[in-house]
Amino acid sequence: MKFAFRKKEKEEKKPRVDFDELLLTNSLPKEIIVAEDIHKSYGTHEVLKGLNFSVKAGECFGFLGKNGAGKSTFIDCLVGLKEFDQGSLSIFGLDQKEYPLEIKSEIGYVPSEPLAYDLMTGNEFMEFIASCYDMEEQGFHDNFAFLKTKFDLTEDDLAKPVGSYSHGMKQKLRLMSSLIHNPLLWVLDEPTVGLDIMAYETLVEMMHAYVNNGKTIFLTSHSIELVSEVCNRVAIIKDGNIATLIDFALEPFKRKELRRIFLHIQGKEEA
Amino acid sequence: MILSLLLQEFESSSPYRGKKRVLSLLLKTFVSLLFMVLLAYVFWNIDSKLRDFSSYGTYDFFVLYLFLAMVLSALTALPSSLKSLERKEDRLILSPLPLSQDEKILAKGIYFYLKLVISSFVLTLPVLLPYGIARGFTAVYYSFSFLYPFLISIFALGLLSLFLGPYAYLMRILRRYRLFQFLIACIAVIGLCFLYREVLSLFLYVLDGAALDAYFSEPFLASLASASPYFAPVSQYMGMLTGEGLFSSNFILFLGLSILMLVVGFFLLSFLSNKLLAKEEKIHLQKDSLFAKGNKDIFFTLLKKEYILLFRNSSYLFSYTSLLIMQPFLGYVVIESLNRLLYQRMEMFLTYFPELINGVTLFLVLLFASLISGSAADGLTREGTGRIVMKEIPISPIKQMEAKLLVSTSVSILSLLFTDIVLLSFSLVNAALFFVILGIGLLFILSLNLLGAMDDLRRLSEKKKGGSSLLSLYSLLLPIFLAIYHFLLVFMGASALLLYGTEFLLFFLFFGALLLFFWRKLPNYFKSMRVDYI
Repeated sequence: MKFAFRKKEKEEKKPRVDFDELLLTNSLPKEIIVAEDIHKSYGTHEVLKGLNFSVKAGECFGFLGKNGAGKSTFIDCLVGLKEFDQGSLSIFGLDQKEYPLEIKSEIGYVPSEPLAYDLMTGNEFMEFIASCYDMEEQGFHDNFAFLKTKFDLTEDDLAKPVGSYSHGMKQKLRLMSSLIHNPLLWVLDEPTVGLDIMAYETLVEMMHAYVNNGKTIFLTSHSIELVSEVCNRVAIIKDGNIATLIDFALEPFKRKELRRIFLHIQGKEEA
Repeated sequence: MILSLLLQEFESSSPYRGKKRVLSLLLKTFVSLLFMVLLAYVFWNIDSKLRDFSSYGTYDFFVLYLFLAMVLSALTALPSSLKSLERKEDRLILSPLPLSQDEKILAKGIYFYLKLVISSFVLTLPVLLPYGIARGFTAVYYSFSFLYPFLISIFALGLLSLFLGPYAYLMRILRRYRLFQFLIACIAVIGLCFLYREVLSLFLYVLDGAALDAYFSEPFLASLASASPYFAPVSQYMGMLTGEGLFSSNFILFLGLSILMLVVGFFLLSFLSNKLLAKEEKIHLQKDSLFAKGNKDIFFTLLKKEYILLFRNSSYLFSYTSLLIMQPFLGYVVIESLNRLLYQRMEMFLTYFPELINGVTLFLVLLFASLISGSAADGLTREGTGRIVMKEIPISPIKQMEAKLLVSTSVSILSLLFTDIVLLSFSLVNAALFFVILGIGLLFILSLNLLGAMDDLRRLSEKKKGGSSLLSLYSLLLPIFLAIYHFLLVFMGASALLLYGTEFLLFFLFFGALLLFFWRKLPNYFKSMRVDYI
C-alpha cells in the first residue's frame, strides 16, 4: 500500500519546487535561512526590531536570549505559525510568504510546548504527520522504527492516547514527529524541557548526527550547556535585535565562555 | 478559607469573564423567569382542571410533582458535579496548598447545595405559589414555600451524592467504550424526545382547554393517593404546611431524613473524592491505528483526523448524536402539533392561503437545522491546542478547511434529509415541498457552516480580539427573513412557483456571495489564526 503524493493546488501558478532535484544537483543555497530586517509587533509592543542574520547549510545555529526577547516569536515566523510585519525571510532560497507550503514540507519543528492531538494515540499521531508530509509507507516504517528505539517509546506507550502522556513523553513524540520525514531543516524551540537524562543524551547525539549529514539545525534553548555543546554559531538576542554573533570555528575559546558572555550582554555579571 | 474555595468553584464554573459573564447571567435569569411563568401557568390550569374533574388527587399530584422535581434537580446536577470533582486544576493547584481534605469537600458540598437550591427554586416556586393562591392559604404557607428550596435541597444533596458514585463509574465505562457511548446517547435522546412529546402534548391540551382525563384517570389518581405518603421527605414537608397528617410526626420524619441524608452525603462525597476519583483511570490501549487503514490520500487523512476529534470526545459525540436524532423527531412533533392547532383555529383562513402553513413548516425546519449547524460549525475550536499542528503541516488552509466543513455539513445535511423524509412519510409535506425544503435547507446549512467557520477564524484571529457571532445572528435572521418574505408573497397572491423559486434564488445568492467572500479571505484568516500554547 502506497501513500499518495499530495497533488498541487490548481490555482498555484508559482514555479514548482523539487527539493529532491535540488539535493541531487547540489543546488540548494549555501545559506538556508536569510532574515533581513524582520519586524514583528503585538499591538504596540514591538518584539522583533529589524533582525538581520543568516544560517548556513549544514550548521547548528543557536539562538539565545532571555524570556520575552523574541526567540520563540522569530521561530513562529520561521515555521509559518505567525506572520512578521516587515522585512524578508528566505528559507532554502524561497520567500517564506510566497512558498509557505513548500518550505514547511522540508522543516521539522518542535514547539516549546509539546502540543499534539490528545485524542489520537501516539501511533496515529505519527502516521497522521507522515501522511501530511506525503511519506512513502516503507520510508515511514523504517524511520518510525528507528526513532522509537532511539527515544525509547514502547508499543504500549504508542497505543495510548496522547492526552494520557507525561510532558516528557509528549516531548519525545514531538521530537520523533519532527524527524519522521527526514527534513532538511530541524527547528527546535526549547527541546530539552521535560526530557530525562537518557533522552537528553539521545537528542544531543541525534543533533550531532544530523549536522554531520549536511543538514541544518536552528535551536533556541535556555540551556547554555546544550547550545555550547552542539552549536557551530550562536546569536544572542536582546530587545528584539541581535546583540552579538559568535562563530565557534573562529573563536573556539568562547564556547566555554558562553555563559559569561550571555550574562554580560544581559547586563549581569557571572557570580 | 471555605469562602475562598467556594468563590473559586463559582469562578471555574463559568467559561465567561467580565461583561460576558454578566450578560450570560442576565440571559439565564431571563430564560429561567420565562420558564417559571410558563410552569406556573401550566400548573394553574392543570390544578384547576383536576379540581373540577376529581374530588381527590390534586394534593397527591402536587406532592408527586415536587418529589419528581427534587429527583430531577439531583439528576441534572450530576454532570456538573462530577466535572467539578474531577477537575484536574484542583489536583494541581489545591493539592500542594495547606488545605484539609474536609475543607475542600465542604466547599464542594456547599457549592453543589447552592446549585440545587437554585434549580429547586426555579422548578418548585411556580407550583407552590399557585397551589397556595388557589386554596387561599395564610402567609405562613408562603414563607415556608420560599424556605422549601433551601430545606429540600439538603435531602437532594444526599440524593446527588448517592447517584454520583454509580454515575462516575458509568462515565468511566462510557469513556472507554465508544460504541456503548453512542448507544447510550441514542437511548437517552430517544427517551428525552418521547418525554418532550408527552410534555408538549400536555401543554397543548392545557392550551386547548380540553379535559385531562386522558392523562389523569380515576385509578391513576387513586394509586397516586396511596403512594404519596412515601414520597419522602416532600410529603412530610407539605403535610406540615397543608395540615395533612400529624404535624409532629411529619416534622420529626422530615428533620430526621434530612439530617441522615446530609451525613450520608458528606460521607459519600469524601469517599468519592478520596478513593474513587483519586484513582487514575485505566488507560485503554488501542493497537489499531485509524490512519493505517484504507486510502492514504491526504484529504482522507484530514477527514480521519476530523472523525477522531469529533467521535472520540464524549461531549461532542453526545451532542452530535442527540441533535442528529432530535431534529427529525422534534421537527415532526412540533410541526404536527402546530399544524393541528393551526387547522383547528384558522381553518377558513388557511383554505384561502394554503401556502401559509407550508411557510410555517419551512420556517420551523430551518430553525431546527440552525440548531444542528450551531453545534457543528466549530471545527477550529474543536482542534484545541492541536491548532499548532494545522499551521505547521505543509497542507493548504483551503484543503484543511474543506475537510472540516465536509464533516460538519454532512452531519447537518443528513439530519435535514431524515427530517424531510419523516415529514413526507407522515404526509406533513407533499413531494414538491419535500424538494423545496431539501434545496433551501441545504443552502441554509451550507451558509451557516461557512458563517460558523468564519466566526471561528475571527474569534481565533491574532488581530481581532473577542468573539463575533455571525452564526447566531444569521441562524435566526435568515429563517425570520424567509418567513416574512413567504407570508408577504402569499398575501399578495403569488404562485407557488414564484414563491419557492425566488426563495431558493435568494438563498442561493446569499450562499454564493458568502462562499466567494470566505474563500477569498480564508488564507489571510488562517495566517492570522492564533496558536494557543496552553
